[in-house]
Amino acid sequence: MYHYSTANNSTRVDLRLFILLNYTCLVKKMTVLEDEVNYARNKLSLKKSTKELRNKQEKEQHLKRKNSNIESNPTKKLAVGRMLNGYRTNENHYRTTGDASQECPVATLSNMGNTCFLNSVLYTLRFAPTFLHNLHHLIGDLALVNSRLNQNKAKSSSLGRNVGSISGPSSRSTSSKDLLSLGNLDIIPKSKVQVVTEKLHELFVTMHNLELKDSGDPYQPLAFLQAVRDANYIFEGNHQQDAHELLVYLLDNIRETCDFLSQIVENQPNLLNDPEISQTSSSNKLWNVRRSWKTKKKEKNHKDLINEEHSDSSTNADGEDRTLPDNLEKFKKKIGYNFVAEDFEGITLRRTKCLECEGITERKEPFYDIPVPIMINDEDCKADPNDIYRKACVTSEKLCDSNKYLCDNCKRYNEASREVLFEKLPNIMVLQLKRFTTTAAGVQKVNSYLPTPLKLDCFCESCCQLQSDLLLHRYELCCVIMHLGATMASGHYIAYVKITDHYKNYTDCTRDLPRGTLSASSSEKSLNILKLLKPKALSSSIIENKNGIIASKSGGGIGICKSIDCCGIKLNKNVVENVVNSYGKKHGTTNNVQEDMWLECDDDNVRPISNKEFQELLGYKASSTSTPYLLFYTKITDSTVNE
Amino acid sequence: MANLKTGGQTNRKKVQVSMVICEAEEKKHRSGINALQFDASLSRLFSAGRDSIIRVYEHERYLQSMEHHTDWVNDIVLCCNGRNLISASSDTTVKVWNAHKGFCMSTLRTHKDYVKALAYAKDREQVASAGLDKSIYLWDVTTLTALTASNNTVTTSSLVGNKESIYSLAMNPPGSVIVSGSTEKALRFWDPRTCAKLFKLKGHADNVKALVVSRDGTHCISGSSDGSIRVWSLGGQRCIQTIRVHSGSVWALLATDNFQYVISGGRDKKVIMTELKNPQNSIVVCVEEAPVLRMCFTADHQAIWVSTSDSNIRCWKLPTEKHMKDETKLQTNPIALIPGGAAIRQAVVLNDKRHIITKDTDNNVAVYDVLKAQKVEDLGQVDFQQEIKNRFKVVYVPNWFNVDLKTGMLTIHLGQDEVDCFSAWVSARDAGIKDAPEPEQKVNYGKLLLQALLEHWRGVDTDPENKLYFSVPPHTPLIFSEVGGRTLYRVVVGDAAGDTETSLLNETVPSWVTSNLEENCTGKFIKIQFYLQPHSSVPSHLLKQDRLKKPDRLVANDFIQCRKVAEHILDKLLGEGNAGSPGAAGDADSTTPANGMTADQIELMCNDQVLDPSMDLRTVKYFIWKMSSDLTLYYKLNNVK
Repeated sequence: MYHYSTANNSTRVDLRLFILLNYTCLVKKMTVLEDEVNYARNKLSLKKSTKELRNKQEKEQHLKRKNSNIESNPTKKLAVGRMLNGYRTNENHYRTTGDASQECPVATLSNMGNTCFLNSVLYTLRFAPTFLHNLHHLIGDLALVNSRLNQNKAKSSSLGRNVGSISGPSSRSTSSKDLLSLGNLDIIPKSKVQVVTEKLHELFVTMHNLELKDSGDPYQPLAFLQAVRDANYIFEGNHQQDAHELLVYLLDNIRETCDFLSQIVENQPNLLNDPEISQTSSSNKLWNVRRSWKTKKKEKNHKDLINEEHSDSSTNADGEDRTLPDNLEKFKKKIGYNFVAEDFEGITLRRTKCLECEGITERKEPFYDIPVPIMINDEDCKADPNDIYRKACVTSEKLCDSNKYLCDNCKRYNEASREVLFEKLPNIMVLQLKRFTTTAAGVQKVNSYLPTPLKLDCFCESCCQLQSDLLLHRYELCCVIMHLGATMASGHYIAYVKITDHYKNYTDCTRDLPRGTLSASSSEKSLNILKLLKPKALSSSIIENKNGIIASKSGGGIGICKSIDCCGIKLNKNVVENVVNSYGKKHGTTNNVQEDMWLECDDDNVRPISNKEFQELLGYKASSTSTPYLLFYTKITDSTVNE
Repeated sequence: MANLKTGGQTNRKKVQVSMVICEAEEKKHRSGINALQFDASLSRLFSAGRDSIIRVYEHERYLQSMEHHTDWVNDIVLCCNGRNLISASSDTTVKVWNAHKGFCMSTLRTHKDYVKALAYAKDREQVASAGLDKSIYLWDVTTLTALTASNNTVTTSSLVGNKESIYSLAMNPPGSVIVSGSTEKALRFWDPRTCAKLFKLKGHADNVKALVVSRDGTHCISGSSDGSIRVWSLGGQRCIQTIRVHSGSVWALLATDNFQYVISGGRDKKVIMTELKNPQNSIVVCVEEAPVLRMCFTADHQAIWVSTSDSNIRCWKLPTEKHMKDETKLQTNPIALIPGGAAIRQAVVLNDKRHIITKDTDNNVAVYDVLKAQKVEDLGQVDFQQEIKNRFKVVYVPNWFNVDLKTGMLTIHLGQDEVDCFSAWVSARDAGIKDAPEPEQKVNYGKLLLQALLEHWRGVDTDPENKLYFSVPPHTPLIFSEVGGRTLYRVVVGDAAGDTETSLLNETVPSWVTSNLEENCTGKFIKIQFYLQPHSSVPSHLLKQDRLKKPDRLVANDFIQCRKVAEHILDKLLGEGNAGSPGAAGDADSTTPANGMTADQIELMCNDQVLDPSMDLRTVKYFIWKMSSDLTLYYKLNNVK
């Protein structure tokens, strides 16, 4: 092991071996851990509170983390150094931007020539609530399923029964991210869609690493861009691209990957049901206990959950039964869990009423973003922003003249009224402002002002039906992608993301089962490595929470998903605080602790700005060509209203 | 005015030819009844059907049908003391009828969209019509009834200001005020004497579908899809009362002469009588079996006729003052019933593209023959889907018409564009023509039907090519209309020989019909492209040398049968290994096949399925090949010595 860490000019093969070795270490440790837990569980009487068990687990996990950290510490330099080495030569071009990069609160992405569309979307997705966390588990599942597929294939090619256990880890290591280019080593070739999804995760891992290193050097997301270009020709060439198109494409990609996973699990129900899983039945039991504890906790402490719907559905899916086969069933459900559908998908309801028989037909369709037409009328813009967006999205039209409706009841064409409503709006609602119109002169940009409210009333049907002002849900702005430029041909994208407590996304993760045995992906491994590298990441990976709820939670070590240490955001809080303080001084205002902060992500130039600054930026400016283009809102479900 | 797409006004629209398959006398309504009028002096009830027919009942017995509309009749008014009837229809016309004899006197084509409502001012013999084209036209009835073929111009005044489709209209008998109800949800008022706009009243939350104005023009009652009935004071220009007695939309209103009671009917199938001064005092007159569309008083005003969206018309006794107070129980039986017939609700065109299987509102299943324009089988209440399955045949014929069920009868539209009415070629034998000189001769369904429909107009054709094999019943209505729009002319097939009809047909029959009838429209053959390849079992020595190299790409009419293809293979593709060039083989008039084989020995295969020699290529393509790409056929030899 030491040998490899000192080898500076390590080749790919070397690295693979290194990972392999490292992996086996982990597996060994995991097995030990399991034994311990098993033991502990047997010893514990049923009366003993589950919380104690939980604490014990946490301690063990902590211990494990510590241990592995010590063990794999020497590899840190190698792993991180190598990732940067490849780009150091190019970096000098970008250092010209000056020392500003030193003060970046997060890892930055450099512009590789017309790639601001890419960077703005990447920054946005990275800061979109729950996205990183869910992506992480998807990648884990993907690697698990792939390795199982390969294993099965290996077995079926009559290599003998025993070979399975031996070839298991090695076949996994071939699916290592660093060896993706050696795709021919994979027994089952990966689809380009999968590759894009994996590369996206790798990119976020890299950014996490850069943040750990406090490196202000901008990173070139070349590998990711290449994967995108390979998979979809429209992004080929060094052209300017539509950020919206990329966003839609990436979300589609992830959705497809999820579907791929769930299909495989559906078609091959025995895939996960192999000896290895049965061996780890103890870990499943452990998982059960933890979950049962969580269910109890949930009943008591309902409103602590942020992504309520998400967790609700997942616990519901877990069900009450504790038998092993059923458990496997649940586990399968988890694999291919379509978080894009869960978080980004809403449902439109198209309601058509024949004006003759007045019968109503309804059609439901899923959607992933809502196009918002820009009203040219200035008067409209003075209206309440909530009204503007509701009117733009919830529409009604009359089908008449030569566009009559063929009524199935009347068997003829009649006039009809048609409404487009939203039965469900997604947890992360993407509004695409229709800034590009096709005219005789070609595609032109509409630079008209449309307010960008930080808070937006929900306009789903249940909320619209309510007579009172108390809505079931509200929306809060979390990210904005701005388009700068008067025309379509020339332009620049800048992303603005809200600095939030990303810890919340990682709490109460139902997927936080002992991964080491179940998953064996390279990325999973790399996450483990990274976790080992950074023992205090847990406490320092986010800004300390102000109201202390989460902080105390994290202090107690309750259910923070490990994935935060793989690809989570590690914000340099000093940079942010400096800005907050300097801003406070400059404006002579006492720093409001509750004040939101935003990050302006302009390629490799990322700077924190205060909420006030951000609002000024979004405010009306005559003939401004810097216009918000994609708005990301997160759903806030007000539990008090629900009760 | 700009209702229909511009361009249509200048460029002549394509003319569509349609026919209705119906009985010689349709005594019963086939579908809902949109309007009723009662002539007390003759005790005649006029009913305007969605089946396009206005029927007349005398003492509750069927008297006659008034057929000339081609779409739903939406409203009718009796005028000139019952001498004339004026009707409004979704065929966009307003028609003037001789009510006593039941014939159509003239047709007004001013509206550009469905005409939904009429209003009548008895004292001034004035009628107003309004519809989805947002316009209201005022007609002088005496002028309308004086129209003749030569004196056929009429001036009309229009009431302007409506911004949305009009669904209801009312005028008081002296003709001093007219009100319209529309999807605008507001009522708009005019003075019909000056055509001056008066005011508009807002209050309803949905479409206004029924209106009544008091004789003195001081009050108005409106019924709306928002479920409420509102009473308006025109002097005060405000709503003075809102009555909510229905659980759904209010579609029909009737007020007693003194405006003491309002009778309302609606989507909740109820007819309710409410005292206007005291709306708490309301009583359910009856509960119908379908949503109530219209009501009218009997001669003594003691009962009402009620029409609904099904075809029955029932007469219900109105409660007396005593009933209103005592809350007597709901009457369950009407005092009179004019039973309606069943409407066709489902129609499936069978694979032969000639027979249509239908299911009506009574669940009776029947089979119609489009070429004969009549019903050929009554199957009774059998399983519709099962019957469709039973009649499935592996045969493909291109579509050549569309079926429309809006009137509850079968309306057949002959296609022109995607569905070309000349695309269906079948052999005379398959078409069931027994006396055809050559059973394999191809006939065209569309042409056969057009010939039959225009038989009386065109006279006897001497050309044997155009021999008439089918006739349609002379009562069959033949309709010419703009594609997807207004009716141009309707004539009954048997009447087409009349002088007026002939000259009108000369103007109306589109050139695509006449030209194709005169020529033998063989240019309309549909070609199909396919490849022929020898099956691996075919000994190569039997094939001509050049056939081994590339598959043959062939083009043939889509109705060519596999037997013909086999003959072609025998003729052109098989031969001794040393047989000369394909050109020579083609020129040779060798009807005696090489090697002493017959076409029966050649077996054609497609997608590993052996093809019946009588199957035609289009059937092979649609039922066996099932792809849009060019068909590939393999051939194989049986019993080769």
